[in-house]
Amino acid sequence: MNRPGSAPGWARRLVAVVSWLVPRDARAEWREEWEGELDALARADRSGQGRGYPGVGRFVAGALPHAVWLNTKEWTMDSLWHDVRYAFRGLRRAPGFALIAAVTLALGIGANGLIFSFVNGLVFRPPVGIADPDRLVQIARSYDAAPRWDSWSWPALREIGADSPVFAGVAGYQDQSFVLGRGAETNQVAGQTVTGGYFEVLGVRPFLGRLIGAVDDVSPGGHPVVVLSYGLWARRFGADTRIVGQTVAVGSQPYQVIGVAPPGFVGPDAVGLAPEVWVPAMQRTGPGGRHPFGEWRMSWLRAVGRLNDGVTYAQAASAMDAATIRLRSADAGAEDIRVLLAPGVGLDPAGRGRVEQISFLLIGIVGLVLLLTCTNVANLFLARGASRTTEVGIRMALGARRSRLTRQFLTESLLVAALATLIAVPMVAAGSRLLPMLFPMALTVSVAPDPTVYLFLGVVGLLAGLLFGTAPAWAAGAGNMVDALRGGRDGRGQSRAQLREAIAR
Amino acid sequence: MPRALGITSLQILAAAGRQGSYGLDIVAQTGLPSGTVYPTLARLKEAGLLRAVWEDHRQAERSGRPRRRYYLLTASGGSALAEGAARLRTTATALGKLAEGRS
Repeated sequence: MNRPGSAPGWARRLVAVVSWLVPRDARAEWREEWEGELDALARADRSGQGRGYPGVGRFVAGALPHAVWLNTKEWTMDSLWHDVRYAFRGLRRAPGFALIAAVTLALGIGANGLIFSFVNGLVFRPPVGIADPDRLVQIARSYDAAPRWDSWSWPALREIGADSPVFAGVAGYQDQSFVLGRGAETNQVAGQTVTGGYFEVLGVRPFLGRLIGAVDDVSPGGHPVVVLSYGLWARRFGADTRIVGQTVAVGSQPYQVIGVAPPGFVGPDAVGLAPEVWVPAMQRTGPGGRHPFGEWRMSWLRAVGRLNDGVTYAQAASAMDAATIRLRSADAGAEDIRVLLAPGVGLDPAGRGRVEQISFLLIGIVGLVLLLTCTNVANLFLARGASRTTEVGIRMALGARRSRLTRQFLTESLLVAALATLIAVPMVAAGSRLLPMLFPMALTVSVAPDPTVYLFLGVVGLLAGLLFGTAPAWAAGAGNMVDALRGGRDGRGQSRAQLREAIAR
Repeated sequence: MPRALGITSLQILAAAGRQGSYGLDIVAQTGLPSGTVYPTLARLKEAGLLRAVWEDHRQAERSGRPRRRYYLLTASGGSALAEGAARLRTTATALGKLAEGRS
């Protein structure tokens, strides 16, 4: 006779929950065995005769693998392959149904994949051509009395980078448009003026020639050299490898091409216009043609730094207090100036916040769309299941177990989900070209799907298949053989109708 | 059983024995985790090397506890255990000779 309460309540409850994994025909005995063992363990523990026995927690943890083993022992490759072939034949007999279900589901899966592809491209994917982007930080100017995220003057940037133990290098850059060429070939291109450390800090290697370096940081106005983007070089200069050393007109002045940046490199920013030329910051002139290199008040350079080996972001952030003190003493006019850091590159903290807000909103919407499509497809499957009661009855009469029928129906759902995922792939690829046009800012980075997005699509497809397939699979296994053979006007028909109603609500 | 039994299966067969043992007792005898013992018991039962027998209700009631499920060696389980033990002995002998040769 069972004496409940002698084993801990939580362990008995765990066994009760896990027992649902055990096939129905073995469940009662499985539960009795585990409850009996728990009882024996508790008795042995109380009487002090439990030498060699494990603790209750360690012991009861074994209930899960035991239940899973019993659940999956029939899952041989042969039987799984049989299920897939059977499901495939079943769907081939109803191609219209299969196609409508798959396309409906593909819309939901594709919408989720598209938004993920967008967030992945804009936030998660490392910028192209930049080495170890997680070691980069953005450095910004702020004031205690008026917090902001702003750019730096040339002398201030020098001060931050000078003898800093936390940075391997600090660089500045400014977006600027340039007039390229002369006469009929003149056109305006987006570009950047950059300090000598820019390419080194970002860890960029040239595709051709060399990139702007410390040698181009020496004398104001004395470095008329330019680096071309790979795209501009290919488009405008016909990918001519002899371009290095030639002269092109930049803002009507002759500039020598010293190199070509690697394909896909667009600088550290994810938004804005993709730069096509880079010229040394030393070529920058301020108001009235004056050079801005001694001007503390003229802030124009956005700053990026690379952390020294072994320095964590937290250490770097706290070291900025020392940089702040140095700046305050150097720049007498700004007593409450402060140096701020943000990890990574791509988006500044405000931009990242905006993108996250928009992304959460969109993810919420497309998640809802997926839920609705799953509900619709589940209804389609339930309606189809109602017309298959005789088939189910015959299979049960031939000895098919309920769990086997449930698995069979679930396989059909997963097959449709796999088809839907395949349809969703080109939808996401096409959508990722259109979506940036709807975004309020220009994007320098591509939001096209990559292997991470395809993996995401696979996972969403699998989850969707399980989500919409569970109800029809449960309904298939919950039937009564005799009633089913009578033709479907039966208890199961009612339960299926109730399930359909519940889903429709 | 087509594949030769591993040490874990042999340990569990030996712990069950011809007299039979219940799961918790086999866990204690072998020192194996319950997450290994119970699925292996189920697998060995499926393979016909063990059989499971529920203890008589009256016996359990007399002891004032729930009835237990005992696992006992079948005839083929006994042969598999003997064959496995012989194989292990041969392996141990070969390893012993190898170790002596090295030293």
